[in-house]
Amino acid sequence: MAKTETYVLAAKIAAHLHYATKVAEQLSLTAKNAHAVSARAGQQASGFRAITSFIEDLASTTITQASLISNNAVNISMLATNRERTNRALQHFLKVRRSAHDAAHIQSIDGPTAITQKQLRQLDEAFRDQLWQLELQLEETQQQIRAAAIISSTSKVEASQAGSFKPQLEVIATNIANAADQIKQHLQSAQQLLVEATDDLHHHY
Amino acid sequence: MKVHKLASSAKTQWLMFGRDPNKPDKIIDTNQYLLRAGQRALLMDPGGIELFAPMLAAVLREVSLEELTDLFASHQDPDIISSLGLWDQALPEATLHSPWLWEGFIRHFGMNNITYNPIADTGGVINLGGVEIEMVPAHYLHSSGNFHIYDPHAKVLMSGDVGAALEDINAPMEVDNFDQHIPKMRKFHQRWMPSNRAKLDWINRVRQMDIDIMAPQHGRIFTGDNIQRFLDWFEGLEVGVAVS
Ligand SMILES: [Fe+2]
Ligand SMILES: [Fe+2]
Repeated sequence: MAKTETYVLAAKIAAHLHYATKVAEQLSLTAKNAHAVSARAGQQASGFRAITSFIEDLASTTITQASLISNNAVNISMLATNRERTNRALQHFLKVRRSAHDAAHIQSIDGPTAITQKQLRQLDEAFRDQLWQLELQLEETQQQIRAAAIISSTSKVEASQAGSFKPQLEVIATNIANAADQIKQHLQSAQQLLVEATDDLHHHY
Repeated sequence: MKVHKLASSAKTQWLMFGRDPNKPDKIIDTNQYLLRAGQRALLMDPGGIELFAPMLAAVLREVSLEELTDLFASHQDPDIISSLGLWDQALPEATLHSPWLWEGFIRHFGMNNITYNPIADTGGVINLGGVEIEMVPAHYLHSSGNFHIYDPHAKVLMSGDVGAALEDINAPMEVDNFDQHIPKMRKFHQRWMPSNRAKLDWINRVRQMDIDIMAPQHGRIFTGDNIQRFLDWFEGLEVGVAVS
């Protein structure tokens, strides 16, 4: 399989985080709705209501974090694009150094070559740093979503005890579980792509 | 990349680069021009990204990168200046002279280091260590913001896409038989040049200028009487034909 360029990988990561944000927005609406329903259900749904507040908070944190990570991933993609361009210039300079070694002024390419090499090293450092940050941020969000999965199974139990509101709350509990699962999937895909991008970086050097 | 000594005066020397035998087939062949004045050099219409390495190698045979202080892009086309992102890394201190109209567009080719000198619609002057080179308006020939370079010392007019011809890679550098050259230019000018009015305005101004060599960005150069012949032919040519 052809190697996917890092800037493409980073853009894909950003896209997954974007989808995760959209699902979290949906989840936030579901939680608000659940809160209203469980308020109407009164005492029968008091357990469920407590859970909905938690889900609401979680959804809004996820929205904030996922969009932050998505922005970071876009920045990484730009950094990788810049790296690609800088590296392309360097490869051209090295090629000219070899092919026109007899040119009268060939040594004047050495200055720009050295500067470009230095820039490339700085870009790589920034790049490595940002990938590492991204890994931490993804892991943190993933942990919260794992908590959400546990909560959503609790909410199913609570829904089953909500008397006449049971069917309505069960649907909501299922929606919450699905949303959490979708977010988890997107984060996992992003993490896999990140592993690929990081491996790539190690292969470079 | 072939190099050809084009002209020289007490103050300036012109080199023409082109007819690159290693050029990929489907990209249009281009002429790049280098003008030296003392310890300074100006590279005109440096070309596409595909040509960067052969151009850089050819330039380094003539001048050092420290001497190459100025770039000129007659307009925004990819065959003119899509190599900018790479020159930008090689010549961080250089100035690019290009139409003000295209600055926001040309920067899309990548420009972090080079300084952009936006040429006003009326034209301007490039001062190469005291030697003045003119930037002559050639709007709508073919681009809506477009300039040519005139060196009054060597009497050379670098005429961008005006006078361009689609030629074989082995074609001679100079037009020998003007009538035989017409078929290689006609369609190019009829289709790419949009305005008869702009064409006449340019011809009237160029007729006042003292020109020994007219050097287009594609094809062969014009010398002697062929310059007059070109102006007469171009004057009579209906352009902007795609809508008729
Ligand atoms: Fe053009
Ligand atoms: Fe052109």
